[in-house]
Amino acid sequence: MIALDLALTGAVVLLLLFLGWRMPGLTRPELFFAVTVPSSFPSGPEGKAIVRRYRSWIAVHAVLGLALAVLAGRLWPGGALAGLAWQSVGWFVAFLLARRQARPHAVAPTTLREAALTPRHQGSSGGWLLQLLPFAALAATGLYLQARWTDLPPRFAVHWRLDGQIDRWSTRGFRGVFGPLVVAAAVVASLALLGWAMPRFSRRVRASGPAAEAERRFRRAVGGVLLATEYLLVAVVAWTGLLPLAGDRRAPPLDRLVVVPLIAVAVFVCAITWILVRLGQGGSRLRRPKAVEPEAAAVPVGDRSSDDRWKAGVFYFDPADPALFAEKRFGVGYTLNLARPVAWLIVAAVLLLPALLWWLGLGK
Amino acid sequence: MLVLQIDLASTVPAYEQIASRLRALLVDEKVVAGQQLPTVRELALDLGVHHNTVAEAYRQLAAEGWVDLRRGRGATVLARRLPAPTRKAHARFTQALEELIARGVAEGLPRGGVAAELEQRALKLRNGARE
Repeated sequence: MIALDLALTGAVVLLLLFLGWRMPGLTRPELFFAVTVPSSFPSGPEGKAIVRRYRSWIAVHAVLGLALAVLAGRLWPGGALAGLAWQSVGWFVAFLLARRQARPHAVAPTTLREAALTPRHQGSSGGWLLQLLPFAALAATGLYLQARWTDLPPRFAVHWRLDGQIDRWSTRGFRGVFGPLVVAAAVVASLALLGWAMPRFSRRVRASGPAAEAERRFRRAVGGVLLATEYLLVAVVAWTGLLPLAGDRRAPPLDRLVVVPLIAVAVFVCAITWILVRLGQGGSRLRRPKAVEPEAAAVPVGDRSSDDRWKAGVFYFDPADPALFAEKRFGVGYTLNLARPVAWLIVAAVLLLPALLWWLGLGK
Repeated sequence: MLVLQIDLASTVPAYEQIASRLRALLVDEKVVAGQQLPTVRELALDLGVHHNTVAEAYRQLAAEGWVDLRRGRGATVLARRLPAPTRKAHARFTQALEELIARGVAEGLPRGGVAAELEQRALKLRNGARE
């Protein structure tokens, strides 16, 4: 089973390396390691040299991370996480170094701002029915478990190691049986809220032309990804919640009923990665390569935010910007405008979730 | 798709730019009566300006009778009847036009080019042509 453990860690390391490798090409064309540059700079000799050094650095740290994961994994359970942490820190340092090299080439972004004179799409991702289904599925699971309460064993497994050994138990009680469903409902509600708020409280970078259409598709895709995450989470939680009714699943090797959610998550992660790589930040990779807009040729547009509002290239802080969400400069998706007080409430809520899990006894 | 563009580096205040651009679209009838404009919040988000800036521009246009403001529903374009021309309005227009021509020439635009531009606009205005 160590081989399986190693294979899984190796897969995660490879996935991180792949994302890190492709990331410079996934951002908006005039943003280079979170610095606004002329659109021709990344493909020029200096731009290529910076990308080459960055990629060498992340490759070295991927190898070191994997080695650490193997060594630490033999010493203590969960030691593999140390290797992944090493790789992630190495990746971030590589980004910071590349950003420092890119900064001398920075140019002022356009001061033009544009808005489409059409009201935004106001619906939720997938519509209200698709947003309500996950809650209905959780409620149905809860009702079914309630109906078969006496069939539930007094003590049952809720988490397994890769070698098939159980490493977490729960008991037949409200917290043990319904706790995961309640937490899942809270997380699904948060994701639905995020999917509702993100298009409403973020700036549309482009208002017209093929870039605006690509951005619309990107926004729809982000909403779809959030909705799919809700469904996956509900499926995994409902599946795990119903497992105690399927008899004793203690004996190794790993039961196929237990391994199904693991495969589902792996397939989901691969699919999401593929979608995001295909889209690029703000749908920038959806555009035809030769569809250069006049404004893009003259003054860099980037994401219409100022470089000095990005701390370390990843934290956005602009009190003058009413947007709560802003496109990440290095990555695909959105980040918070930390100058807005609501952003800190969201950060607090995310940090409180593990505390809620612990209170419900799921962290033991 | 109709796009409203402003320049944050301009010396003209943002609310004036928004009101002027919208007024131009309304005069050209590119935005017609009954059409819903984006809400204050939506427009402020996309333009990266404070809500009050957009609200002020909308208030100006509402005071001129171009739009109807309803809380939470944004601005609806009204069928505006043109007021009777006054001498004061004419004098203000002439002065603004002279100042604009002077600024263009002072910034190095050829006099012939400015004249051609004005003729083109005049022709379009006379024909009631829409872009």
